[in-house]
Amino acid sequence: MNTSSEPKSRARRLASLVGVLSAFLASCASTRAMQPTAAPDGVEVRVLLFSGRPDPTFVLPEARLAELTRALNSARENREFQGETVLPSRLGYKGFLLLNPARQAGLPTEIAVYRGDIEVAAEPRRFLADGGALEQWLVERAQEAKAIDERALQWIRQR
Amino acid sequence: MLRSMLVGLALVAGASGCCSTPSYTPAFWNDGGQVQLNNNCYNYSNNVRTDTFAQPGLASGHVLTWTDLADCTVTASYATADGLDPWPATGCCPGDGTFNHHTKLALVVAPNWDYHWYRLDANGLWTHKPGGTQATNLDNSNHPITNPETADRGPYTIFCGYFCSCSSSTEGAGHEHIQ
Repeated sequence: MNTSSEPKSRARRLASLVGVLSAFLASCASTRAMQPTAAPDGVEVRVLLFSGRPDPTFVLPEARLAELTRALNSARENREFQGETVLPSRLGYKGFLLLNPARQAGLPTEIAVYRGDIEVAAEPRRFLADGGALEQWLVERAQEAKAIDERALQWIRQR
Repeated sequence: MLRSMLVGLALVAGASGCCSTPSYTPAFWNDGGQVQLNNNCYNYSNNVRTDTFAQPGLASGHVLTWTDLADCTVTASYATADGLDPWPATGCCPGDGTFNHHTKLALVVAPNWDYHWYRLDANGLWTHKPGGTQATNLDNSNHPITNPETADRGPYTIFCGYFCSCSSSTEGAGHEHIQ
């Protein structure tokens, strides 16, 4: 069994090396959306649309962070929320995830938004509700950043 | 029978380490952080944690783009190039009788948009991980997945077929080379 597995294993390793090089060269030319993104300094927003491909991402402009703070402050506490997270494990649109590891503007490190529910990473984890206002605001910011197109918008609006 | 055994041995020989089938233990993937956010359906179905949102074909030198997703052809061929083996709908993935059983996966496509993978766990039910969200044993209608062909898959309307993957009973420790 070893004699048959070793050549295949070597061939796979070689193919893997060639693959990495080809993939790197190809990535220089195009397919920006297919590459994993590095964590930015600001507030990174991921539009959770895909299962296999990397999701579209954009960074919220600093000038918009005060609006985000206001949106969070005007949402009401939702102590009745059942479940671990507001983000559903389903195929299709799954909400927005905001990552803020540097705690820009004093905002939480992580905020998740889906269909009017908001989840804030804090100790303890907090759940808020705002009827969908923050989600709509994020849709507008995503369009502004050209992170989503008309088809993505249709997916987001689908119930 | 003999042919099936020979194919089984060939598949076993192609993987490094013993293949086995995972049970549904989503806690490994559902950490709400690094593992969950950076491992997708391809990682989960192959049971390989890369923290890179692994893409079919990348490990074998191909870059999948959305233009390749009009149908199943390109995604299936890239997965095959990565080492997965296409397999018929009927029958289990091959093994040597007591261990080294490969795990059955299913590929579906949302036309011109995205692809998705399911895996068949040791209990005979299918599970999946939709992107950066939690791994789950439920479909879009919140039903357990007994058959990925008939499960509620939302916009992933094209069923492509089945594959065999050299997985592991330990979560995240599958043996296929993906990246």
